[in-house]
Amino acid sequence: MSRTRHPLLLVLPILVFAAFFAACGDDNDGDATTPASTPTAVPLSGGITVFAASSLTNAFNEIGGAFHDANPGASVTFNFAGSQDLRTQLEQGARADIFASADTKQMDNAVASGVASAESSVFAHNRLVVIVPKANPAGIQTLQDLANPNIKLVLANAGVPAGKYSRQSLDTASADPAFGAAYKDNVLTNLVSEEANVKQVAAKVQLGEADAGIVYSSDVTPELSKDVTKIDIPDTHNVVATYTIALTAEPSNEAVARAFIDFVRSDDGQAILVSHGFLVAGS
Amino acid sequence: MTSAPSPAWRSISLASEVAVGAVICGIVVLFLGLPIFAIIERAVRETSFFDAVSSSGVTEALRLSLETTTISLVLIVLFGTPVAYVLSRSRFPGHQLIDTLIDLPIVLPPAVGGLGLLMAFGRRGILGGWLDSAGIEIAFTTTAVIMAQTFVASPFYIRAAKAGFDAMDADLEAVAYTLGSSRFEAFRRVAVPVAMPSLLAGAVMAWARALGEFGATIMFAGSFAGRTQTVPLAIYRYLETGIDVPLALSAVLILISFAVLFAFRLLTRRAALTL
Repeated sequence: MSRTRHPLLLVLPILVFAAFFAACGDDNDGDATTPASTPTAVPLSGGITVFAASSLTNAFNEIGGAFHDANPGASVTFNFAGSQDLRTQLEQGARADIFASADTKQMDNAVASGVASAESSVFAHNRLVVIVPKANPAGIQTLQDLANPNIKLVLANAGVPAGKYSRQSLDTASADPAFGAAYKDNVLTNLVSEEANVKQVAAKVQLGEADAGIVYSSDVTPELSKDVTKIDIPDTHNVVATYTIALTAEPSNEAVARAFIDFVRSDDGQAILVSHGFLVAGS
Repeated sequence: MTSAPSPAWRSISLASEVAVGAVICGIVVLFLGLPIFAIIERAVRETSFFDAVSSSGVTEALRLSLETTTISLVLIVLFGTPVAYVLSRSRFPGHQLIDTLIDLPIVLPPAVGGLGLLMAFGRRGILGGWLDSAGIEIAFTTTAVIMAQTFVASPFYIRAAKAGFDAMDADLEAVAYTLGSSRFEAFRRVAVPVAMPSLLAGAVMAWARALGEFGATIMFAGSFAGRTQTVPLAIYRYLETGIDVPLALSAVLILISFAVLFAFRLLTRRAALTL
């Protein structure tokens, strides 16, 4: 008789788990979120979700705060990841109002697969810089030095925008007689790791494990600057990343979403982007 | 007469027990099985599956994974077995501390393991300067992959091996001593053979854990095709460019893992029957 209780006892922990996760589900808005406040007299209200490239993390968190200050009834939740990951998430049915990509390719793909609105717009640019640890164990002073033997170089892998741009930059340098045709091959011989995203490149250099890495200028935050030195890549060999933003195909709150895109492109939004190392749309 | 339940009531309660048990088992099997089935089904359905499997990135990652996990497993067994034996047979000050320390990698997120390995063996790590002057470079090498795998997987082996040694009759070794065996001989010729099923089970679990290792590896070893990019890292890396290669790698990884676990199950069952 008492054995009949056992199945129920087995179900109990499942119920407890389910209740636990249900409770956790409400608490999903970390730092990146501006808490929703009660709608007031302002016309905009409700929350939106923005899928944004990971290089936008700091800038967009600040823009989200400023947007919320300007529109207390509206709140923005961010999901930061590689542009490719975000596009894949959207294609697999993730719900979002806005997609902000670190290149035009992922945006074009998202538009082509029908998850992003065709009216995308360019809102920022970014450029590449070489970073080396402050101690600079490999003695790298110039771009040419990246081709020196026995350097530990890390790049983002060729599948993510930062990795693609890094290789394009090496290509253009190789076409320049000052670098020589073998430049790219010599540099890539030094490659010890292809990181999953540009933040990992910065981390490997910051930790001093790598002698050099190529990241976006916006990645060199004040925090990172304590541990790394920047080496500029001249305009002729630099590849400028183009950031595009668009509504998704089915935004849940189109009014707030449109207002957010306008805000990103406004003088206030552009100023925040500049303060985080981006170049603004007009430049 | 009143206290004993009637046969009818008993059979109803038995039937309901079976039904509830079957439903719960069904839910669990579906929950665990559906994602696995989905990957295999989708991978095979993709017309490019066989191209993807035979592409150089996939074969390179598979080769690297099989090589590194084999070396890791040899190291884990070679060093882990004596440790498990000592922990099982002797009590000394700090015994509990060491026991707990060995369990720690099981509960830590692998990224913590990777960070710890960097802080210990990286260029700026505790041993970094010493290793550097000795001309030994670990970060971004295959050695780093093996160290990451060994770090996260060895507790699974040591745990199982210790449980095996704990469970066996200590009189067996006492008999060996009275017959003139040294401690080492008793360990090698009595304890290890008797505890073999536990050692094998631990080895399979440790190998499986090493095969799936991602977080510590990407942190400590980086990701470079043919050198540090094992199958889990390759799956992550190729997700950036499409779904074909990750699917193919996932499917192959699932098939290999399933084959090994299943073969192990059959083998131990046969061993148990012959004993």
